[in-house]
Amino acid sequence: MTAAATALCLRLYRTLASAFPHEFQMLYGEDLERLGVDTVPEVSRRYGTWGLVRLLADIALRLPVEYLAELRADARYALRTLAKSPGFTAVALVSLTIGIGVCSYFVNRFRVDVFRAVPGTQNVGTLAALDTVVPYSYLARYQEQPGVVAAAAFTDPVPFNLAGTAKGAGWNGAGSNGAGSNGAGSNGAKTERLYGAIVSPEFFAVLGMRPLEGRFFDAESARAGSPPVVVVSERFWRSHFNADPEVAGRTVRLNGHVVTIVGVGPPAFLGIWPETPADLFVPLATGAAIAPELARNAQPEACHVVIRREAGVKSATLEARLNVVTERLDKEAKTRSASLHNERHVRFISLDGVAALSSRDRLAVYTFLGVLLGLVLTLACANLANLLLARSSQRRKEIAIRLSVGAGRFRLVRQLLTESLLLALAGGACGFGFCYLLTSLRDVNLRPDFAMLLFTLAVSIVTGVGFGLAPALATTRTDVYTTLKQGALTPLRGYRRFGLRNLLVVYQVAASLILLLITGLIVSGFNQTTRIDPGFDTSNLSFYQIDPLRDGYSEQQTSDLYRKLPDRLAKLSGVRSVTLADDSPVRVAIGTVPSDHFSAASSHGDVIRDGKLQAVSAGYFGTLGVAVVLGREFTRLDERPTSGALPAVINQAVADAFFGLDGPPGRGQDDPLGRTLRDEQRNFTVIGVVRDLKSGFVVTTPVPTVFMTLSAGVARQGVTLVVRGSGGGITSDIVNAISSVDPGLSVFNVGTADEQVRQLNVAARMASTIFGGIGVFGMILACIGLAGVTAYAVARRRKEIGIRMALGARGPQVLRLVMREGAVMVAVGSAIGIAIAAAVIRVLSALDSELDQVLRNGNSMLWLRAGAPLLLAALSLLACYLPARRLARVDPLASLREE
Amino acid sequence: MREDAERFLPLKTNWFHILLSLTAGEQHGYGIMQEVLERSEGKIRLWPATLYGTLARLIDAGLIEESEERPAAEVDDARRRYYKLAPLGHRVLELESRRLEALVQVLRAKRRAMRRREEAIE
Repeated sequence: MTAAATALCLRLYRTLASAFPHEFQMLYGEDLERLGVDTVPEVSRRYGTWGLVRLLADIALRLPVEYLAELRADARYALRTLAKSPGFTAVALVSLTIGIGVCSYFVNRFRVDVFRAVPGTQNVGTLAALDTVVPYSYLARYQEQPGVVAAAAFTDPVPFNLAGTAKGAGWNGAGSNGAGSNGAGSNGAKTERLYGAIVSPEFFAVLGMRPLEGRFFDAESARAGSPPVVVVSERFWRSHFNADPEVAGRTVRLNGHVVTIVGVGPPAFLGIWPETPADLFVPLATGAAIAPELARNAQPEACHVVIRREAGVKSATLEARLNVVTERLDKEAKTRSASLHNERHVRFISLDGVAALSSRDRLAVYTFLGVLLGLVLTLACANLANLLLARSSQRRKEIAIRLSVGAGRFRLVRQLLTESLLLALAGGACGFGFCYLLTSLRDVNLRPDFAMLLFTLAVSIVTGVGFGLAPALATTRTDVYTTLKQGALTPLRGYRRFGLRNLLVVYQVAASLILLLITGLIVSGFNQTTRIDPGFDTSNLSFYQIDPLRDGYSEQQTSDLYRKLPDRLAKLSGVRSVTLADDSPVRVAIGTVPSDHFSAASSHGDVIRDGKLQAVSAGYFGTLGVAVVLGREFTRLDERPTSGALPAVINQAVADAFFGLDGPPGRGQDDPLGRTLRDEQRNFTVIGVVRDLKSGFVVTTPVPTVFMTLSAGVARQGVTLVVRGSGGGITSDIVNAISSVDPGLSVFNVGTADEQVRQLNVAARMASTIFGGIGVFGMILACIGLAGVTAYAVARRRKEIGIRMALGARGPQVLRLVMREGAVMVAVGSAIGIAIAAAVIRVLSALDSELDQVLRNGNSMLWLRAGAPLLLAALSLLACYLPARRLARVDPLASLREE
Repeated sequence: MREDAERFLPLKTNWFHILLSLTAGEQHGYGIMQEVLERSEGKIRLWPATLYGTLARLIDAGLIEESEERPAAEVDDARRRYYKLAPLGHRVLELESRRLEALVQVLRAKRRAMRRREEAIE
């Protein structure tokens, strides 16, 4: 047995010994093996089996140590060689920094914007939100369902007026101000407009959140009539209380009422949907005391619901169950109040990241992002590969010598890979810094985190190995004899018409053209599609928002103010007309998804489900300059309270849907004037038809809109004063005039229509910067690559050119020769690029209808389709020309004598 | 030059033992292993891979070098490589032994002081 063990041990020992790094083996391999042969019997005799195990463990542990030592030596060598050619290193680093940095940045943005889980939640996998809003009363029924651990409801953020001086350590809660009858900040400080969600008391518990400070709601705050309390966001706590740890128990004045802060929400939590951020969280029961929304109906009709399900229950099962419950409840409600709602279908939206996107949209987003970023990254990588190839030709002699003195090819490949990996890692580090810089410029919340660092690292390693391997293999596949004999400037054996390098150049041109075309199409498409065109004359038009209800006015006082204020302001000099609306006419265009229901007794279509109800006061259309097609617009008389049907003005889209108004006005088959419309609660009589306003963004069909007269009861979130002046800046005059009516009235969102349009166009601008940025970076990368390749080709062909010139070729002829080769590659690359770009655009269009719309708008632009290839061709030829120019100055004698 | 040698202090145990084994003259790997084993009365065994790994580091660091001279013909094992101390290795070994000596001195002085105090108390 011992003999067998010894023999086995010896065999294992030999195998391990032969696995040591080549260089180590050259020096010590033989001795190591012999020592083993000598030691094994002795060790076996002395220590038995344990000794043999110890011996094997020793050699097995030593193996990785030696390899690491070799790696360290390789890295040191690589650093030295890189430092020796700073130009190459710099260009490679810049390429990699841009490629990896841009990739990381956009992946990070998408991760944060689209795929981030709600911050602060626990066990987010068992959480789900409903995709539709339901009445608050449904919540109790959901809570009863088997499989539901708990459920909570919350509203979309509603406005709150916060009185007191914002910011600064010395800020006191408004409680110290004393209760003014009007409620506004009696110290004359500015009132601030904040948004907060009204939530059911179990809201935070369902999400599994822990307060950063203080506590969340308890049973006391669930009781109606208890003193009002609020939980504030971490953001609000930092900006208004300087992150004061003693904040719990302090008071703020919200909508004119003193409210006690009980706690601070988890970091970065701004409600479940950060696109509609909430800084305040008010429990439903105490909310009724301070939120005018709840004044009439203590249980809101439109609540979002978040469900915590039992871990063992399948999401789909519970979804189906809740769907059935909702349909039943809707049916009951329908028979009770003849609601226009169809039964709702509820679906779950998971909160663990991939938010609110259907699987189809998700695929589109992924594909799109993948294609664009893949192109950017591979451009950077192609640059790296090309540079490495170019460099390898300079190192052929070194490689050949090392091969001839016995270095293994594998060993050399490893050495070269270490170099490219080092470069890629350095590029990755710079890229991460670049990404960090980009995000700090824009939004601190976008800061890349540790996961992003890992991602960048992974990308760098893939880049380094993936794109260093081919050049490393090509370099080490040399014919030692010829190379040593002919010197460093022999053509690479891999240099053929379709050699790796030429393919890379063609790829670079094609890829950057694809990138340029797609991003260009998207940018111009976005610009066309999403540019807000309000559809009316915006000159000398300005907006002022007021919210008397939240400044402590009663409903009657508010109505009086709405009647009084426009007349009073209209008397100011420079003001032509003044009117009120429940929202800014500019913002209406891109506001919430239209979902109001209307019906009419008529032969054409019976229900509109995607309509919009807007409340406006007399003279609205006249002030905006929107043509009244039929009938008349509102006058003061229409604003008087009436018990019968309310007067309504409809737009052409509604008229078309209900009354088939398509020929010239007045001759319609079905005169809409005097007809009756109804929505959920009211009956309307049509008194006029106005031209459709073009709605912004991707929605190109006009939204069916019914306009009703504005009163305090309708506009519960304040009103916008629309003022048409006769020229010049009148905004401050108007604000002063409003203050003179009541100094306690706060005015928000003051601005001209032009300003607001510009602000809303920010989306289009942002799309331009993002996609334009990707395109430009891609182009820069391609040009760096081309210039590098040409520079290399020029260096490589010095001798050939020298011969040509010695035989009588002139500088310009030589230049033309080199340029022609560049031009062929650019042309081939362009053709491939255009073809692939067309295909990609097809695919993207098929995947996503909105993208399709955008792309089609951009596609119509001839200048882009012709311009992008021309621009790229011009730039790439320039990139060829600059290094090639040197050829014309080649001294034939000097180049021939070189060797 | 002196600082150069000091940068190896304190010397790693394996390094110290190998340098110690080479003070007497050139020696091959197996010999070093045996000597260390004997000197430590079987307590310290330089296993083969560790031995050669350490020898490689010592050569890289310039403390030892491969010996060109072979020992007397009757004891020469022609198949093996022989190693000897390099000048730097000599210096390092010297410095290390001085360092250890100084430490021992300190220890002795402390013990003497202790004993004297105990005697004084008695």
